[in-house]
Parts: sequence; C-alpha cells; structure tokens
Amino acid sequence: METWNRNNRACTTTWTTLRLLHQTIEKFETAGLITMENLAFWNSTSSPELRKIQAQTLSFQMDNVFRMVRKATYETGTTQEKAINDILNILIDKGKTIADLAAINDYHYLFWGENDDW
Amino acid sequence: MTGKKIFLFLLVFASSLTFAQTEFDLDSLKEILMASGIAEDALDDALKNLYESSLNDAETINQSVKEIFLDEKPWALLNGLSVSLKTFQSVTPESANALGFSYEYQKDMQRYFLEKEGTTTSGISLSLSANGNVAFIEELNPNNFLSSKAAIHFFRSWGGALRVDEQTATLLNQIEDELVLLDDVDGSTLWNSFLAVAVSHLTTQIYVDLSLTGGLESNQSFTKKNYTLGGRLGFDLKAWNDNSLLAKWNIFDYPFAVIRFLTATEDDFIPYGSSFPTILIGYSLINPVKDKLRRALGEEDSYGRIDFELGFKTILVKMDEKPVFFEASLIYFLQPGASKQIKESGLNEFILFNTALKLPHGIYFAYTTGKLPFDVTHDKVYSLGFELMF
Repeated sequence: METWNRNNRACTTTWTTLRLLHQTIEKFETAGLITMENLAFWNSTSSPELRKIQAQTLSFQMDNVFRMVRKATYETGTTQEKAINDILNILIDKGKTIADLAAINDYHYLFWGENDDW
Repeated sequence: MTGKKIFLFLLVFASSLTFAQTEFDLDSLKEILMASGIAEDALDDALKNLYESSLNDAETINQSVKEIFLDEKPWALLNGLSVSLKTFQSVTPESANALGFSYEYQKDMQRYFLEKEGTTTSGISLSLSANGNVAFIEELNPNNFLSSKAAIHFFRSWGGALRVDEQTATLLNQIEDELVLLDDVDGSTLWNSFLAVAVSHLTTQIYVDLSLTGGLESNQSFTKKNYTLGGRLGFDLKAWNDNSLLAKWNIFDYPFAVIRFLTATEDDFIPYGSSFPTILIGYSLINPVKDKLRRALGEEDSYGRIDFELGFKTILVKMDEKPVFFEASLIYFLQPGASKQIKESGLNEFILFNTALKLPHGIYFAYTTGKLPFDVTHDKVYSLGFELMF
C-alpha cells in the first residue's frame, strides 16, 4: 500500500475513526506520523497490563466501527481474529504510527466504496 | 593457458555458480580444464586460491549466515520492548538526583477467538509482560520495583456500534473525502456533520479480561524477591457516544471537559465517555523468597495480597494544533489479615499515585507519590523526561 495518502480509503477511515473515538485531534496531513503513545488510550503511567486492556478495547471498537458504521468487509483470506490481532499488535507498539495502523487496516479490510483492485 | 587465465576462467565460472546458487561439480570442471591442456598441479593451486578468496570474502560469509538464519528471528521476541531514559528528583530529606531508565515489555504469544457475533467477541490468549524502573545508583531509585509476569487470559468484548445502511455509509465516505482537505477540522461544519451521523451509531462498549497470572517481583538488584501466583480481572467501560447518559456522567473527565471548553479545544462542555478509567483488580499468593524485612520479623510464610490499579487519560488542551494529555494511575496493594507486626512495619499496604502531563514532541512532566513493595520510604518524585524508542 502507498504511505499516508488521502486517496486511500484505509488511511482516511483510520484517521476519522481515531478522531471519532477521541484518540487524536490531528488533521489528516500530519496524522500519519503520530505514534501510538500519542493516542489518547496510551497511558504511560499505567502498567503494561492495564495499557494492553485499553488497547484491546480500542482494537475491538475499531473493528466494530469499520464493519458496522463504515460497512467494511474483510478482505479475501482474512478473518476478524487476524484483523483485530494485527490492530492490537500495532496499538501496543508505542513506536508504530497511525500510517502503520492504516496499512494493516488496508491489508485486512475492504472499505465501503474501496476499489477491489488495491 | 597461463595461471592468470585459469584463475579468471575459474573466477567467472565459480562466480556465476555462486550467484545462481547451484551445486558445483568439481570433478567435471577439472576434466574440462585438463582436457584443454592445463596441468593438474596448476589447476589445484588456482582452485585453492579461488576458494580461499571467496570464503574470506565478507559478502560470502554474510550470504551464508543470512541463509542459515533466514527462518530464525529470535530478535522478534523483543518486539514490544521499549526503554525510556529518566531523571528522578526526590524530595526526601536526602534530596538527590538520580539518572536511570524505565522499561516495559508486552507480548501476546498466542491469541484465539472463541465466539464472534456482531459486536460480541470472546477468546483466550497467552501473554508475557515486564516493567520496572532502574536507577544507575540503586540507592537513589525512588520506585525500586521490577515486575515480570506470564498469564493466560479469557477476554470478552460486547457493544460499541450499530449497523448503518448503505446510504449512510456512502454519505460518511463523501464527508470524509472533504474532511481530509481541511487544516482546521474541529469545529468545522463538515466535522460536525460527520459526528452527527457517526456518533449516533456508537454505543457503550464493555471489555473484560480474566487472567491467571504467575510472576516475579523484585528490586533492581534482585536482593529482594517475591514469586506470585493469582488471578486478575480487568474491566474497561467506554461510552463512545458522547451524547449518551453514561458519557455525561463521566465525572472523572469533568475538570478536563471544563478546561477544554474554556480553552476552545471543544465548543461546549463535553465529558468524553471514552475516557472512563480502566480498572485492574487481582488477588495473588505471594512467596517472599528474599525479603529481609519480613525475615527480620519472622514473617517468611506465603501470604495473600489484593492488588488494584486504575488508569485514566484524557485530552487537556490543544497546543499548536496538537493535544496535551493528562495521565494518571493509582496502584494499591493490600495484605488482608496481616499480623500486627506486619502492620506496624507498614508492610501490609502500599499505594502509589502517578500523574503526568504529556506535551507534544515527546516532552513530559511527571509526579509520583507513594511507595511500592520493596520501597522503604514514602517518596514524592518529580521527573522530567524525553523518550527514546527501540
């Protein structure tokens, strides 16, 4: 997938979803570089176990929003389990960026109106 | 043929075979060359020189090593490890500065989903985690407590969103295509339009995580150690729809909602239902393998301990179009039914409160008060830091 790109539905929907869930207030242009530790769920004063619970909650909710509110479906060969596990692995890696998250979402989800040929 | 020509011929021939990564039939090659009039001794010397130069070439060695270890990625286990440099300023009577670092590690070894229906999902997982603070001079470490754990989890998530129709999905896409062009998103008519549609399809999500956990607690020099075995329950409630009654009752976010309104980060007083604190509560059996204080009191037997953690984070204000976050956590340990000696020594109960203000560009201000197991004194610690990443 291309890097952070306003013509890529996975990038734009990842961005609006994170804004919708109060995880960031960045505009699209600069959001791609934002790391996971700079999202609202990442509490650096908490233990890793507590933070992982928060990341798991968010990973399930991102999947809920993609499927239910944005009418995305899973790409051929992927499952809900794989998609959510990969989202979680990005979320708990403080150095990963929103662009990295969008890339994994692009891999697992066929977003509404997205070209099947991506 | 001269020696140089033999060497060049062999070099080209062997190089082409090296790049093609095919088997080298030495006997066949020797037969070909000797049939063209090359003496066997000269051929053996040339081959010996060629092999030695190839084997001593770093690129050849690198390629071989790469092939051998291509499927082996032991370093992948370290994914999830982060280390942060820190300075600690203690305000105890012996006030001193301490330089050190904190580390944390979190990794799921396996995860399986058992139930998947709508927004309800449950599953099991196996995880490893570790965290702690290390000061380069141990005596100055205000939070000298390292923790490492392995756990089996059962988790379940339900709620969070409602299904939209195709027309609504198309509308959200159309608004989104315009939103990405804006520099000032918050407060724009477009963003308000997007929220009006999307938020109405968000509901409250509940996430629970029940785990069986075993681990090791120690100070940084491992002169004090506890082995632990117990159960923990994690609970996370998120009222994602800010218009819901539950979101409006998130009193933890009230002070920050006021600040966001007064600083025009939000257009109205809006407590975030997404910032409800997350809770972790557990009960463990503790085996104090090395605990001089307990040993001195003759209290070396295993004992039960309740532990509780609460974490909270929310957006405070907007600074240069970036969020400033307020974070806080409360950690509490209690040994119920402790003996009078343990209580009088202050070993039955520990509480630690952490709070931090995280500014853009990795700068943070933090304040910690309280003590953890293995801390002798109740410290108040200010720290200022920046973060590096692996």
